[in-house]
Amino acid sequence: MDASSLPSTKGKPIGNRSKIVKRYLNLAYVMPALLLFILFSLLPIFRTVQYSFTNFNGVNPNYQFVGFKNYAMAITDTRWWEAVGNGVIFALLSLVFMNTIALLLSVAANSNIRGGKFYRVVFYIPPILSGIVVGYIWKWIYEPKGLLNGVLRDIGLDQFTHVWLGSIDTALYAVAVSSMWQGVGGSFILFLAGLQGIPKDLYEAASIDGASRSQQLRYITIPSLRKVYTLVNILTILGALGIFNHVYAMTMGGPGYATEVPALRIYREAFTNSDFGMANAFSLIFGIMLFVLSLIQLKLSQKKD
Amino acid sequence: MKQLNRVTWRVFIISIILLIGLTGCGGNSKDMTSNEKPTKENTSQDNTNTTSDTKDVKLVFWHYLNDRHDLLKEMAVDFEQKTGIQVDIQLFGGDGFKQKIMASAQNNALPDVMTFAGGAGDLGQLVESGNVMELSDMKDIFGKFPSTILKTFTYDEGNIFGVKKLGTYALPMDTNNIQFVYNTKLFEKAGIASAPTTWDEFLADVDKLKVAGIVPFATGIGSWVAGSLAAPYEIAYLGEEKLVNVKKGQEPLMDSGYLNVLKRFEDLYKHGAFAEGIATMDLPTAEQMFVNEEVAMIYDGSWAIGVFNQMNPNFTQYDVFQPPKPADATHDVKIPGGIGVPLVLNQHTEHKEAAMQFVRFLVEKEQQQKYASKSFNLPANMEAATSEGGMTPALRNFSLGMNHIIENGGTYPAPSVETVLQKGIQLIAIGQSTPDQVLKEMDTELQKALKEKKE
Repeated sequence: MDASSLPSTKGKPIGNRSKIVKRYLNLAYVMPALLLFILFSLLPIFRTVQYSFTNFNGVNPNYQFVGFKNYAMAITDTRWWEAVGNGVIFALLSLVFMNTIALLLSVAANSNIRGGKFYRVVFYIPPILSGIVVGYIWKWIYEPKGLLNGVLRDIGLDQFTHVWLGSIDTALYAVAVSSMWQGVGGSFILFLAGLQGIPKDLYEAASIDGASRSQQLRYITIPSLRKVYTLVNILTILGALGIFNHVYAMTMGGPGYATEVPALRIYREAFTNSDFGMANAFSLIFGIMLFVLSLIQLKLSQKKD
Repeated sequence: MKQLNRVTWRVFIISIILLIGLTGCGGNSKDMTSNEKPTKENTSQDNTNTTSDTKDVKLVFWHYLNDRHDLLKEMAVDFEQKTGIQVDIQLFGGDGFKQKIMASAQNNALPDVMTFAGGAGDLGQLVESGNVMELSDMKDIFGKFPSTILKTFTYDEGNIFGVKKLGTYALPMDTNNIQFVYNTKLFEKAGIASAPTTWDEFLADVDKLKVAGIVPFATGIGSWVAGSLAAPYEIAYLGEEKLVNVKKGQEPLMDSGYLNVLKRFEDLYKHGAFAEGIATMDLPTAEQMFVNEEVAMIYDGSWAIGVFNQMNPNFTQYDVFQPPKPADATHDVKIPGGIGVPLVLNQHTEHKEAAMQFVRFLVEKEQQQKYASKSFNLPANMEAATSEGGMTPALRNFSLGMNHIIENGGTYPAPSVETVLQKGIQLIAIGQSTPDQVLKEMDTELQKALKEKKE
């Protein structure tokens, strides 16, 4: 079929009315989703911004506009930046350890090992558990007379028993371990999906050329997973910086401020100190930080391409 | 493409500026989703929208009392048999109950009746926002309770919480106080004949327990208990009047004698009194350790008797002593206490009469006696409290402590000062901070809070 066989529209006006009807019909189809988006995404953001400029206590509708006071206090709050620092530590640990383990597990699960499908299911169970439940279970594991210390004593390693959550030296890392234990499955699934998109003949060709498994990992797998890695990194950073459930269940930010994280601080401002204005200011500052971090990562990843 | 990017960024920046400008104009106005906006649940002060057919009435009752859930359900069944009014007893255990109440208040989703978790300042917020009912319609039963107890949630003219809607907003379902509870068997094993009455005796007993290989003490220092443990010593060193003034900012915190309060925690740390993991320990964990006889002492409320019974009904070898007075303290020690569980009614309940009827039922003598004997909590109803029977020896000793409760411990201008105190105590308890450092941090936070309040 070529252009000459099409009916000629020369001289005939294009159906404007039908175009308009079509446009409104398309709008009607997306309207429900758009309404939900406005109601549950845009409106809460609008409210967050609004309350951040007020002294709203969460209950009393008679609040006052306080300008940028909440932001000034948030930016000069040293405890807040310490909490952000703790969040950064969580993020770094997750990026290095959690994602490395997830990558190795996904490579193993993707190879034709026995029980590969079983492992795929098992590794994905932790992410679907409730964070609070996971936190409480790990809290029990870490108790002075809990499972971890008990195992260490049983195998003759008494000298390594420790007050894992009650010591400022280990509390943060102990919480990080529980968080990474739960998070590794999410990264694992994404890496696995990425691996399954790599053509098998690349590996075959490499094998023929005499490349070892570690060389194949280094020169084929990792470069091919670059885009997946960017996504996983962004999600890992966002998840680690936004950690809340584990800290709430295990330490409530203690001992002292050793495990204080931004989300917990925001929660405390809102529900303990009844200062929703301040909590919303912290939320916005935090949200902007996460947004900028994600942008930087995307740009860096695009540059490499 | 570059042009398009530039345009996109300009539109984005202008949108942000507009958004900030628009939302900044949102002050001094009532929130559009406030409780004053007509809603299905929103009723007038004189709620006449009550149904006379009690068979259709179903009240919703929220509480956080894990150990009393079955008892409350039993009482609800009794109430239904008596009146025909159903009550749905819903338990929300854990430390997040206050937050749940506050969040529900925002959404006008409070139940008909609830126990309240929080202080008078917290309830004051709900009072000012019109969420809770003033109880002068139930004035006829006020005389059943000790007046000091009822005062806790009564807002008079010039009250320190700034509540303008004066009146009484909660009735006590029980009373409580917080003291030291000790294991009599472990004390005997360590060669301690009786409970300590002075701070020096207390430290000596801690040493004896350690020598006997017994962990001396645990409590929920990882949570709100830290501040409660400091309270008796705040009174002992400063006295109620000075403490109130210091917290209000009318007298300086530094050099007020408050340092001595924090030094008591340092004493306990230096004598190795605390159980492992104390800095992040919550009260339920400490209670479990006490019932398992892993620690000799716990600082806990009178409600703990019921908790211990639930954990292990065979564990009865414990008794109670008041916080021992330090030799250098100039005032008597007093203990935190008052209303244990406040009962609060939703201002917007559709079943006002039924809700009040249920509350009257819960606080009448017969129910209070049943409540005390089955839950091991101190009854609020004076007739029930002074009647014979229904209390174990430990509970009776707790009850005697009601004569020594702190009447007015003052309130800081912002809860953040309490947070600094709590965190500071956690760090002192593990030797990671000193009383001087914590006091300085408290003073900094207090000055910041006072400055904010002035503005």
